[in-house]
Amino acid sequence: MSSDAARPLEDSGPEPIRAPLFAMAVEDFEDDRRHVVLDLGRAREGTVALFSGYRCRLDVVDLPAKLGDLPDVDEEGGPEAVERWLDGLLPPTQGESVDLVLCWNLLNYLPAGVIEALGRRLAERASPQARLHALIEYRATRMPAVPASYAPVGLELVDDPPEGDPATVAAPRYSPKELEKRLPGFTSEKTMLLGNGMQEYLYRR
Amino acid sequence: MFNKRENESEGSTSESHKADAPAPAKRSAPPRNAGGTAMIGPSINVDGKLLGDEDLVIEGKVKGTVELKKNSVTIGNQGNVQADVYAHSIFVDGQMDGNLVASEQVVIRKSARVKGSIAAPRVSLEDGAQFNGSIDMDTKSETRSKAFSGQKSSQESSAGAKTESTHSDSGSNKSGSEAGKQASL
Repeated sequence: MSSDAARPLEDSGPEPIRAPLFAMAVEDFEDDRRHVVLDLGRAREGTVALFSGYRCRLDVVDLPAKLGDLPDVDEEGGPEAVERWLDGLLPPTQGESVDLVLCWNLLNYLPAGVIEALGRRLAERASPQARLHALIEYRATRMPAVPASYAPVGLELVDDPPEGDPATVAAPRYSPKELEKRLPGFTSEKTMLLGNGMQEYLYRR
Repeated sequence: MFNKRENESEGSTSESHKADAPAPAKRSAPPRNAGGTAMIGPSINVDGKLLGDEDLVIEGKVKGTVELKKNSVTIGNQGNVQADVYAHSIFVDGQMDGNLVASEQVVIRKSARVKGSIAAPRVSLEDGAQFNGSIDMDTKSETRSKAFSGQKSSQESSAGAKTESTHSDSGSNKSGSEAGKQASL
């Protein structure tokens, strides 16, 4: 699928950002095999439009919207509570394993213990060749307190910053290797700095 | 039971359609429609299985199963559906918790709050909509092919529990309590 194909003729919104590793992950979908995508962000028109071009099931869990209910991972029994919380949010596997996980601007809003709990759950659901594509705030030391949402425009990405809340928090600036330690079963494949300062991480099972 | 509009384009002028109720959703690909459009109004609460051969707009509460496999189902802004819905096309503006299976398309509009699974060859979702669940857009989806094969036998097997929407006006102005009785399993 060409990245230009799905781009509107008159695009008055933010400029799409080239995301070569995302494009690389989606290129795997060109075969006629059925794929399962797990999007851990807000449901977006562009995501549905992109993956509707493939034989695919798209699971969407708006984790950023649920972070207010996140159990304290540092309390006694915290990791188990986080896993139960995730189990209540993740959709049924329906007997299929996940081929691509999208973690756009999510992991940098999660404490390390929560990433580990999430990583365990993802490892259980992932197919042997699954990939995890993450966008991480890496260049800046601070990031908006409310995460911006990302959506594909073709094979490029566009961000949708939160409105009206200028508050910022410290960015943990997880390195690919740090995250690899927190994501059991996933190995860092490639990283790339994007035009907007976000870092693109691609992991593989 | 249902407020019925024989001509959807004149729906807003129908006596049975409240002036402050939202207009039915526009359809981009009209499904087969043997007659008018039935409506479950905001005060109606249905618990059971709905079957029929005309388009349906839901502004009330529906629990159970909705099967209008040759027609469209619109869950309006005030609609609150906890059901499995099988239709030619499904449009969601309101709240939906359950499975949506369409032979043609599912459209999730920006005001929609949806939890559950969707299976349709064409799915569109407007930014702003809240969705948590699965979207199966595989053209060879088993869920959809199962749902839309053996349609006749499926309807026959549930004949004893079905609610039929007819095209006669006599069926269009039943009270909410009658609707509840007819639709309850």
